[in-house]
Amino acid sequence: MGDYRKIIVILLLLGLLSCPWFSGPYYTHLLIISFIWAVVASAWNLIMGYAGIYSFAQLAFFTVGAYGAGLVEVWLKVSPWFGLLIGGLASAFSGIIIAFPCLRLKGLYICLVTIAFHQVIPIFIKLGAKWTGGDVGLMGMPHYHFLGYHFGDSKMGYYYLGLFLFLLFHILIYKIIRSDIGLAFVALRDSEGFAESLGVDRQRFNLIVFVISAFITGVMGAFYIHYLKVATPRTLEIEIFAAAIMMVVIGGLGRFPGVILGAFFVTFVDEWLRTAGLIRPIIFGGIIIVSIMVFPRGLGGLVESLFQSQNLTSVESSETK
Amino acid sequence: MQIMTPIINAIISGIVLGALYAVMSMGLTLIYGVGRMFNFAHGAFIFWGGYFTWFFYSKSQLHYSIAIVLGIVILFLLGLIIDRVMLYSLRKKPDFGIISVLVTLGLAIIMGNAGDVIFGTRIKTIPKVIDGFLKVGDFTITYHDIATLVISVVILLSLELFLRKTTVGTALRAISQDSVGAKIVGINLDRLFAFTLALSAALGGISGVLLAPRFFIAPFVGWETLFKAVVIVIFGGLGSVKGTLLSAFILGTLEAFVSMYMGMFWVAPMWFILLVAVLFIRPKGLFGEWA
Repeated sequence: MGDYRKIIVILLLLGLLSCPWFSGPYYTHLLIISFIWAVVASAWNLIMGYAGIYSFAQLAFFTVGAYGAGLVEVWLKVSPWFGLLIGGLASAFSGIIIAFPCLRLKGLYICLVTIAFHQVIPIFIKLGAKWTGGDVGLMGMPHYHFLGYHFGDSKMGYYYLGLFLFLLFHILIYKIIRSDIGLAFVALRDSEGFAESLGVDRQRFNLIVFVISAFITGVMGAFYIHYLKVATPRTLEIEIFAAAIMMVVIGGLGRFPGVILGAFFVTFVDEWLRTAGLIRPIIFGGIIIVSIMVFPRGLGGLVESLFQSQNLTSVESSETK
Repeated sequence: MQIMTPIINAIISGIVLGALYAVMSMGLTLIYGVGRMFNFAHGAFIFWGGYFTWFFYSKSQLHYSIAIVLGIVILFLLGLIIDRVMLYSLRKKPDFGIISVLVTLGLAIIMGNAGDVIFGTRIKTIPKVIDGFLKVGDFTITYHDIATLVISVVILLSLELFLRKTTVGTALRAISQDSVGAKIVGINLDRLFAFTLALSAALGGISGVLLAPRFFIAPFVGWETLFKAVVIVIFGGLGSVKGTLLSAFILGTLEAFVSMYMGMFWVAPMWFILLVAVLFIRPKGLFGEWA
């Protein structure tokens, strides 16, 4: 069974590696966007699905990372490679700031405080319009160069950098979920009192999950603005927020590979619905409601129930080893 | 006297805003108290209050007061329908807290954009409740502000009477204090939840009518008012009627002073900073209790 899964993963990897050579620029673009959103959705899933913290600050982290990197690169002329790290750190720092009030809060309070944080970010961007470019956006970020290869020429460079980040962060998130830290998250989510009585420090692990999730999201934010060549407060608009929520909901809260599927699904559907105009957000809202009411466990849950018997045997065989 | 004039003007405008914000956020507080649910679609209810009034007044040429009442009645019915179709079955689930957030977010997106799809994206406005202004010495106040204050205070007082003196109001308070105990003594939770959602939709709609002349009627207004209502209810403590009242007046006065001395733009950042500061000292807000 384990071999069977490895083969699937390797085939998928080979497919993704060779994709841009025959898919054409349009689908390459969609795949790059999917990589970015898949990482953001998975980082969100880590905090909301696994740690059970109702944080809605993910797009705020994304935007903080984007502007953190963009501002430093444009005004301080820092290398864009370094910008990725700066974006992650800026976002992680905002994660600490928003985590501190949240450490003492529970449930819906966290949801509401993070929503307030999300709503306040565009106002700060507008207040600093002299540096951030306000509503128009921040432009003039330098392009990546790697061993003499210039990324601005085609989508190839961005595709492989995006794929690299996608794989790197998903391996990281997978490792975290499977580590003691991930176990602590789930324990605190499912039975907080019991976990704490066993010595799991809730505040410490909540801070850790905020920082990790914000850092990963911030790096993707920095990558995103280089790819699109502009950073705008539009990433905080309700349509994008709805799309990101859809990825997690359709993928299934707390289901690691499901959310990746959800991100690819939503990105492609979003693109196909571009011509729908005003109706598009209504379709989004409808999909969110229907998927919660009809498929509460999302795509991930659907796939799991299809492979339920195999899953059980694989768990048993790994335990008997 | 010269120095005092702007300060007194700001206090008056703060009191008007406070009363209006109290009506605006009361729906969120009530539905949280009864169902432990955060209603993301509350901003959409507020926005549709203005929208229905615009529709019946400007499009259907009805009398202004009839247009307002009709809009609020429709919102009340809409609340009942939303409960029956969406929330009734979901409420039995153990993780209803997060499910309610996600489902009402979807609803808010649909409701926010439905108006534009049906009636076009042209900006819509409705007239003030009463035109003109009153001038006493150096102080001026518009009749619309006076009407807003009177209507809001009447609504808040009758809500308070309803919660204190009637059987249904007592049942609502019982549920928000102890929902299991309320069930044991035979209170019908499902029916009261539906009623409260409808009531909160109607309250939101009324505040929307009073708010609309200050802004345009556009989907983004729903999100902005939702943000304000969110800050007010956490500041006051989720589910606490007293807390919501107090925080609405505090934040309304803050808004009046900030917009007078620093500009409208600073209002939201200042609200957020005050909110975080209060949560550091009192994590449950001014009057909140843990669910």
